Amino acid sequence: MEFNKGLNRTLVEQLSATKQEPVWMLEARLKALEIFESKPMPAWGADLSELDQDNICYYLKAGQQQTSWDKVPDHIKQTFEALGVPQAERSFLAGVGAQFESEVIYQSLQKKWQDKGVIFCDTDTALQKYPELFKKYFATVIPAADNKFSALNTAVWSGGSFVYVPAGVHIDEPLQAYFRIDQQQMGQFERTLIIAEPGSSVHYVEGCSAPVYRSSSLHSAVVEVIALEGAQVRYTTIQNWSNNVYNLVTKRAIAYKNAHVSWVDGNFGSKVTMKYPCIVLKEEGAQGQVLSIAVAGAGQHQDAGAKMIHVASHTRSSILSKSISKEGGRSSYRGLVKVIPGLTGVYTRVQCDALLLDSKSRSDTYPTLDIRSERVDSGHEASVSSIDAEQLFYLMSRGLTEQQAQAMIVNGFIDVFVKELPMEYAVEINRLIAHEMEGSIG
Amino acid sequence: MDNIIPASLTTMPTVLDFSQEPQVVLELSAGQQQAFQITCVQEQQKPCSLVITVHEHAVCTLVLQQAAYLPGQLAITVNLVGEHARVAFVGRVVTTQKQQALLHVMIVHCAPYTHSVFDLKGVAYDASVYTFEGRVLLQQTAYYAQATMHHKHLVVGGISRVVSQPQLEALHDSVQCTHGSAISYVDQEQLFYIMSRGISPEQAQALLIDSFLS
Repeated sequence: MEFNKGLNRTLVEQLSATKQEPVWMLEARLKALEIFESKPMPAWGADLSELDQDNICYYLKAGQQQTSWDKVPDHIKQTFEALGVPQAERSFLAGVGAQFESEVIYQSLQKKWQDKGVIFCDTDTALQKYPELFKKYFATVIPAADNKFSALNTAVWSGGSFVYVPAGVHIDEPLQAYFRIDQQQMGQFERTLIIAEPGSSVHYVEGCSAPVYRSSSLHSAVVEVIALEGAQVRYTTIQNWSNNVYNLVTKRAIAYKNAHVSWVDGNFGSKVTMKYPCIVLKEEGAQGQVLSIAVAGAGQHQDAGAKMIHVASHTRSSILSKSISKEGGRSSYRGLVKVIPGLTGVYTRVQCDALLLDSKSRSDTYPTLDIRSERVDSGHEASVSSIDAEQLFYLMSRGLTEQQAQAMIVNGFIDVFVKELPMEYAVEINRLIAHEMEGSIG
Repeated sequence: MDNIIPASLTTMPTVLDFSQEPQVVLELSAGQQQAFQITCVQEQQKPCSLVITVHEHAVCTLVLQQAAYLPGQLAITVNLVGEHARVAFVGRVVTTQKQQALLHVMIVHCAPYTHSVFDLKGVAYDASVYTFEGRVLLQQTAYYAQATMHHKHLVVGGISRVVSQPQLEALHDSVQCTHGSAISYVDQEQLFYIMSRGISPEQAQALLIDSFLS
């Protein structure tokens, strides 16, 4: 079945029929479509005026999104080279082939997880195989009416990950979306749902530091995380979409009693990113943490941030945001910390550091603290500066070139973030920064 | 940065009374040094606004004291248009009962070597609501500009509300700017210490709030 560009009711019905979805899901999709059409485009944040909604293909079937290696832009191929990405992975990341090498690893790991009762599959499969569980949690954290793009995602979602961790189960190694070898995992409208039952723990990792090339221009994912009593969930994303993509993502987690949720969020690619991972600290003892980094190069606007909503006493949250702007890029931190009335023992900290690498670039900070309780300790700090000339001089006096010294200072600046990543990602990020610095300063 | 206000300026400020004139536009010519005390003795229904343009080497000091100012809506815009133009803002605000106050501040650095220092402290009692919207814009022409913006607020009373939005936009890499915002409550350890000296809880709290605002 062919799916044309543009979005309408027929397309949504066809999409749902192709996937053989239950009636309730079709109804949810159609309702979301109505909401999407009724909501205006956001008038704040990044400039979305060039986003042509009618020229977007809203559903690509497996195989349909393959393109030819020759069409992949040279700068993307050069970055693959610099990072040392193997050829098979390059094809996969560039959207010209599937990643089959990891299949063996995936199957052996899946067996191990299954023995513990863990479910880790793509979201479409989860809807078919675990309909009760899926229906119980789907769109409970981010309803379709939350914003225009969550409505769009609910209407046309496809792919994404579904993770269910039973009570008391601890998953030692990070669950990586990379292991799942379905074509839709890096689709345009992924829907990811993570449920951590009481006392469990899980670390989910998606994306990669190598550039992901797509000819389609809109990526609008929705990620919902439910951390029940005492659960620990960490969600790590490294986003490096090619520079033609609008990356408009809604991410939200609900942390119940004594649960601990953290978002580790790296934004390197895309033309425009609007992403503000949110944690609702719903019951006492819940803790939330957001660590984010944004690198904005030529023609890029990284409008990233975080939201913490405290709705219970004795909850804690921290946000650490680092951004780097270069070659005329613009990075913005946009955040919200909200504490509802009548709470005690709430602690929250926000820190934003921005590095401007040249005089063409721009850095903005738009924080909001909305405190309605008496016993709250909240703070926000931000600073914007360029690379310290003295540090540069010191490193160059030790025999480093200017470029090496600058890359080293930038790596030091984002060190707090990199330390939180799994080893292989950390190594790649350092290489990526060194590559990005080439010829960018001076 | 903290010493940009000459001591002589803070002694004889010009009074800007918004009870008389809700919209004020001022200009500080090259080299002029002037301090202003913002007052408003009548509860304002209408929003008040102040626009100040500061030329090269001029120094503008703005003082907003809670004793002389009844909360309402106030918008302050400062344009630093000449090289080495400076502005310093010191604000102390207290809201009680069901008062609602909004302070909107916009500081635009248009020229090189401009400085701005912004320091706002406040206490929100009872069911009052205090909103601070601050924006510091460092334009591409503002080489080596320096800006700091600090907002500290104490929340006293279970249903008072404080909203703080200190925004920062830097368009050139030679600038140095920081901002900070803290909303908290009276330190319980300090309170305990003072009470252990035989002072009542109410007096101890008043003492700490006075020292915070001083």
